[in-house]
Amino acid sequence: MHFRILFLLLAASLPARAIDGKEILNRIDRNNGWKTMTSRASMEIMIDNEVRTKTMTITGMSDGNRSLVTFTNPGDEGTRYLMLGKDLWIYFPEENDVVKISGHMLKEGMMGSDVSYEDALEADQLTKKYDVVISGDTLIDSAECYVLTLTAVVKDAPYYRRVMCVDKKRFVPLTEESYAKSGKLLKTVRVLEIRKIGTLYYPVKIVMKNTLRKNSRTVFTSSDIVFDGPVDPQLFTMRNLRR
Amino acid sequence: MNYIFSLAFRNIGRNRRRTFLAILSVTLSITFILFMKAFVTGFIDSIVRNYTRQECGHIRITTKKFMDRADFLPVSTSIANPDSIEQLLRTTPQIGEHLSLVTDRFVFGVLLSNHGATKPAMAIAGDPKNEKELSMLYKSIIAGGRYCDGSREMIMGYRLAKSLNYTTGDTVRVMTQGADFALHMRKFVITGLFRTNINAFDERIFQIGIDDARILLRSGNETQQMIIFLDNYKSADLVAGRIRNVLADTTLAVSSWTTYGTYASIVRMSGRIYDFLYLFIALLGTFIISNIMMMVVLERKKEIGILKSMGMKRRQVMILFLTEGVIMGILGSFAGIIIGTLLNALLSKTGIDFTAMMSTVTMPMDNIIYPKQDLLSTFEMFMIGALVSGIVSVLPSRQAAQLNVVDAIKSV
Repeated sequence: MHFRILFLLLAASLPARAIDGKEILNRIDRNNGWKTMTSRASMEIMIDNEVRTKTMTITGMSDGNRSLVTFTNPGDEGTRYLMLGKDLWIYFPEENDVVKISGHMLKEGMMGSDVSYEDALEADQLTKKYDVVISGDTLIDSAECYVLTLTAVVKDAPYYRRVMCVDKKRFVPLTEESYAKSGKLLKTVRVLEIRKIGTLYYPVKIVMKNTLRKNSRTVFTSSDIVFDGPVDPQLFTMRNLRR
Repeated sequence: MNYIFSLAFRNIGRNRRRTFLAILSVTLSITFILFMKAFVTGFIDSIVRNYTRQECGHIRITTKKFMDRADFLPVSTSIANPDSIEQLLRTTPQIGEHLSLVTDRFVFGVLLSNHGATKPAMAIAGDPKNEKELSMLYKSIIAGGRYCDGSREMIMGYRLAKSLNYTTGDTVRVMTQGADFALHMRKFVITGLFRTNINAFDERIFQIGIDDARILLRSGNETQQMIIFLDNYKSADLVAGRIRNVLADTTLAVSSWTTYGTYASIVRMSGRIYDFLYLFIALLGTFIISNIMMMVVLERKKEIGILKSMGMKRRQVMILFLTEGVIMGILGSFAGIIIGTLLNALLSKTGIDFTAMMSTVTMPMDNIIYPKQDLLSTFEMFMIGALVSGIVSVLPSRQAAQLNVVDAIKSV
């Protein structure tokens, strides 16, 4: 009996297995490990000191590698984006025509927002694209966070370096700064609200700033999120895009 | 004094070959300067004309935010009430009387793609009726095409069309970032291809209607630029100042073509540089007179001594030799003016074709330059020739005047 108690005490006193950066990234990727997703979302874009607010509403469906986003707000109603892997097509309803977006155009803000097409297209796991180092710990809105520094190891990574503060309990990046190879800060992201949907933690309200644009920020809010629900694969076709 | 002039005339006829050489030198330099001035005038006029029509008019009104980022041709900062501004300008006495045309315009960059080929291009969007007079592109439309009068119509530079495998009748997708920063697309039919022989136009520009541009860019009734043309482009600075005083909206920027872009400063600077160049060439050309006069003084030492011993004053000797130099200069200048004017008259009809040389140049200048000569520049060149001839004759004339009488008579 004494030996058992002693053993338990000894086991408790041993330091917990230290988590490394790669495992944190894996846990983050697991939060995005859904197979299909449907949701509604809105983007509130504030530009310049006049605070020109443009609110858009979208419905989106995704199976991880393919996504279809439809805009439902007046002014953009009927505009659709179809993302197939790394390719993006935009359907313009007034012209009843589809244009493929590629190259540097992918860095443009989606619908004039701070969220670039490239940001929206990013589907690969972080572990495949970045090397990671734990730079330290910090506190964000009373949540203890790991500070991770990610450095790109592939050429097609959208940002060369990313500094994330990752919630230690929920493994969701609460803040992120994205840098170019020159060291210039390109984007900042701040998560305002996280919701648990099933077993996954998902950021439902984020603020993104494109630091290359003066005085602009985009608040992206998601709702009615359903993971791994039934999604018709025929939705992710060019034919459906033009419908 | 009359006898000095007749003496001078007689003296220059004494060695006709030498006199002819001196006159010829002046003739050639004045001809060259006159041609150069006419050519440079035609060249600069071509740049100013094309530049103001394509870029900024004689005066341009935009927002100050646009001016901060003018190189990027932003469409998100526009003038909200162009019609009321035009009304104000036309009814203001010291402004309205100078106005020839006021028109709204958008100029923005796009990337055009077709079957894998992608080229940067620039859209000029304006009132088709006004743009007809401004850009004159409609006069350059290749046979088989027509101007873009209607909605969803465009005309395109033939080199741009060729590089993208477009031809008249094809549909072009124009996609660009609008005033709301979002990507928008609109389809246009090419109604005609233009060939202006200005590479900056033919390989970069296409033109659409301003209403189509407003739909594409989501800019409502606003305008990116108000382009103003005056009766005389040289009064742009004055009228721009008056417009600035009249406009109450402090978010607007009013700029004259002389302050916008690099070409205006090139034009100003080149004018000054060329003036110095003309003077220098004139000096070179008339320098031979100085040489000849030096020789003449040496040759006629004894004669000078005799003239002085007969009572001719130093001043009179100096005037005599000076007069000889000036007469040669005047005759040479006059001949140079005649030949230069005939040459310029011919070239102003035929022009000088730089098409081959201009193939890689993107300056807004015509491929064919027509020299332009006016009465004032003709008179200026004549006076330069005569004056500089006189100046270079001073030294030898002084030398002659200062000769010692006895030494001069004794000289061999």
